[in-house]
Amino acid sequence: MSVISMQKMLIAGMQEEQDAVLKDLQRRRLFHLTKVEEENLSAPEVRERIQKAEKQAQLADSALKLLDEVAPASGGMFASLKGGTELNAGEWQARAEKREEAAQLATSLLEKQKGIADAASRAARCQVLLEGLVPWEGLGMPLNTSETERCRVLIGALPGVWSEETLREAFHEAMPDFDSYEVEFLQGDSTQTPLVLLCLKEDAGAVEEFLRKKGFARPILVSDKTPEQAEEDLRFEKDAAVTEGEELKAAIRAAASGRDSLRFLYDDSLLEISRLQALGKAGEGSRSFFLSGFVPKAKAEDIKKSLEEKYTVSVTLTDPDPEETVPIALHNNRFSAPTESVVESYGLPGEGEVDPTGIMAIFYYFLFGLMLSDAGYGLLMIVGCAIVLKKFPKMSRSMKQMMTMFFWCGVSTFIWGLLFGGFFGDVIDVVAHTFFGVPQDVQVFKPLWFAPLEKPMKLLVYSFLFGVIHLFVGLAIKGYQLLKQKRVMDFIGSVLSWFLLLIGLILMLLPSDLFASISGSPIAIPAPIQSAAKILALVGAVGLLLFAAWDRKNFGLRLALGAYELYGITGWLSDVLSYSRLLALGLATSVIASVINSMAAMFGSGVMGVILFIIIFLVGHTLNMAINLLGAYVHTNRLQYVEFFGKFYDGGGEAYEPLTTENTKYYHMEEV
Amino acid sequence: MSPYLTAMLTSTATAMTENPGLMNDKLGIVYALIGVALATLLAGIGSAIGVGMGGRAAAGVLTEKPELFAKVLILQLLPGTQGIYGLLVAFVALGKIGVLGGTAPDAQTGLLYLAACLPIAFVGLLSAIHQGKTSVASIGLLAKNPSTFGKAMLLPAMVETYAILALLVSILTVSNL
Repeated sequence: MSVISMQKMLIAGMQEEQDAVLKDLQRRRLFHLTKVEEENLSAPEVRERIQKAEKQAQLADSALKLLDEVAPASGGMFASLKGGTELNAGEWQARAEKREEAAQLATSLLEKQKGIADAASRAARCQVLLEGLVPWEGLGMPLNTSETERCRVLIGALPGVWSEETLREAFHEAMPDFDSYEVEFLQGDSTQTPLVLLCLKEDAGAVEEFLRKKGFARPILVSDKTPEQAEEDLRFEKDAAVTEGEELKAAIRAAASGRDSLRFLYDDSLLEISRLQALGKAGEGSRSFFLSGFVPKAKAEDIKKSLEEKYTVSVTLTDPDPEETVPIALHNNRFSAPTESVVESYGLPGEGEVDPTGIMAIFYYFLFGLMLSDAGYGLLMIVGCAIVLKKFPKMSRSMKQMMTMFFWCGVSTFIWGLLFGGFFGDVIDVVAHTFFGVPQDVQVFKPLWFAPLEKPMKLLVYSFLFGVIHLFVGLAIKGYQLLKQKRVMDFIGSVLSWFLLLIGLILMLLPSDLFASISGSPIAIPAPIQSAAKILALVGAVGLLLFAAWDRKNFGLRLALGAYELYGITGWLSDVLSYSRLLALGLATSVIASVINSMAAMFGSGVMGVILFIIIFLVGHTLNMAINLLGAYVHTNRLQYVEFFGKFYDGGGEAYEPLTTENTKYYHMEEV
Repeated sequence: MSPYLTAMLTSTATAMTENPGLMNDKLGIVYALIGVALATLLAGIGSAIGVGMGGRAAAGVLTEKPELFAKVLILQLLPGTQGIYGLLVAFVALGKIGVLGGTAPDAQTGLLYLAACLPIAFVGLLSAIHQGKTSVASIGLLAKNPSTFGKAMLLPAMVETYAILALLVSILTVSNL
């Protein structure tokens, strides 16, 4: 459990080698850049280059999405666990030289996509027009016929159903004197009646006005062809558009072999972007460049030596100033390292704080197991995580950490399950009673310690005990931090006094009736210790009152702040009570598991009974395990974050984020 | 009061004093089952509302950021535990009052079961709804800043504390009656 100590590294070199040096640093994955204070002359140029690289990444990404849509790659649900294809630096360089080709491929693919969209819209337009032509079949003249020598020809459709009589009546009503017209009806339906109407040119104005009022609509397609000819042309055009779309799709499918080069283009662009962003932080002279940053102390000399050998650069190493913000990287052993991400998501240790991972990991596994407490579920977690870890060795670091964390949580869950007698609830007993005729009152699988459901108060008291230990360790770490910073008065005022007060109070509480009624058995404590406890508590309380705010000059204010600190005893009470969730969640797992088992056993011991038992068992325990895993995970985090970290940890440290090749998606540059 | 009603009440009272076991035995299980039903109903309703709210917010986030699925799913499910707690109390009670095991209680014990179920019933209902609202807010936080998952998860988990306290009181009472 520690924070890796860092050294500051200053690199000065020739501008021609800038990119090469940056690439080198990126491959090493150790250099955490900080901004050089000097003005960067080429900042606008760098921004432009970043934009260009981002555009390329986007181009590759859209082309890949297109490929996935048209020619899906076979991936499977575990694809994300497999990690990227590993490439060494040479292979990477060889592929990088072909980036231009990949970009061209992406552009041409996207053009084809545009072509497909265009063809599809043309086909759709033809389809609409074709549908519009249906009522005009059998018209027998060009659709745009508008007049003969003396007559006006009106082609269109009236809404609703019309016949010769209804039309005549309507005309008669509107224009009583008008009857010199000729109408022919085409095949209509209940919504519209297509028709062709001939009338004399001098009547045309009035007739058109009349028809307009009735909702007369012209055909959507007006052409100099008959409907049949127009239809044939449209069909031809539509088929051509569809074929064109298919051909373009086939062309995209044929280009699917270029998927790898597109993926590489995407990844290489990402790396280029992060290099360029680093460049934005660099300092620059007219012919030279400067980089400043942090590297782990252990590796610093190696990096310096190899950089100075390869390039014309000068590398200076210094220990960081005490005032400087040094990036924080955690380093822990294999047992506790998996919980680093838990600490990281709360915040990295800030100034004067120790890395809590090591101690927290022990409590994390302990509390998680206690909440889930089922040997069967624990076993599943152990086996599941072990298989995934074994089968996918190249998955990302965070994924690997999580799997390892759940592996250890599984071990703890398994142990707690044995202690509390839970193996998929009480499945061993249920099976023995239902299928093997063991008498109901014989318990086959006995808990090594005790069954929580039979003695809930006992587990409650133990939960509080674990809580007090957890909290006291937190307070002790705070004391350690204060002593390390030589703040002895703070240590007395806000750590030692608390210990005295709390231990005194606990010793006073143990022999009391209240405790006896909870635990069922009072704890006898000799009289001298009881009176000592009172003194301890009193000294502690006075210590808090006087020294919690010892650095205030105003004595009244100092007492008031001390009294406020003393009021924090209520906080301690609620913190300890919060550990009652250990009991609640533990009971939730075992009770629901046994309910599932008794439901499964309801159908007797016949063949159907066995089948139904297996089905209900599988479904029920999957659900129960999922929901209780979630509960245990969330509430273990909560106990660490709120109760434990609340005692000593603020976590305002800056994360160590070296220039790295790890942010790629498909390919993986081999580690140097 | 009409003489008829008076006569009826008197005769009922006489019947009850003469044979108290008859009334008590039958009412005990009724009271206890009302408690069981309330614990399941109210806590379940609360969780359904809470998880529902979370689900809608989660679906909105997934349209833009499908890669956050696992994380928003966890946040959506957080208010789901109250329903489980209600179920838990209900099952422990059912195992003691003669439905899944144990013996039917008399009227007084039945009422005690009813009272014991109330904490998880009401706190479960209200805390699940409020936890759902907090989950929605946390899902929004996660959508804007996916690196804050730890904190986003913690905020709804704080609400759950009170459901756990209620569960504890309910379950300790039910199992010790």
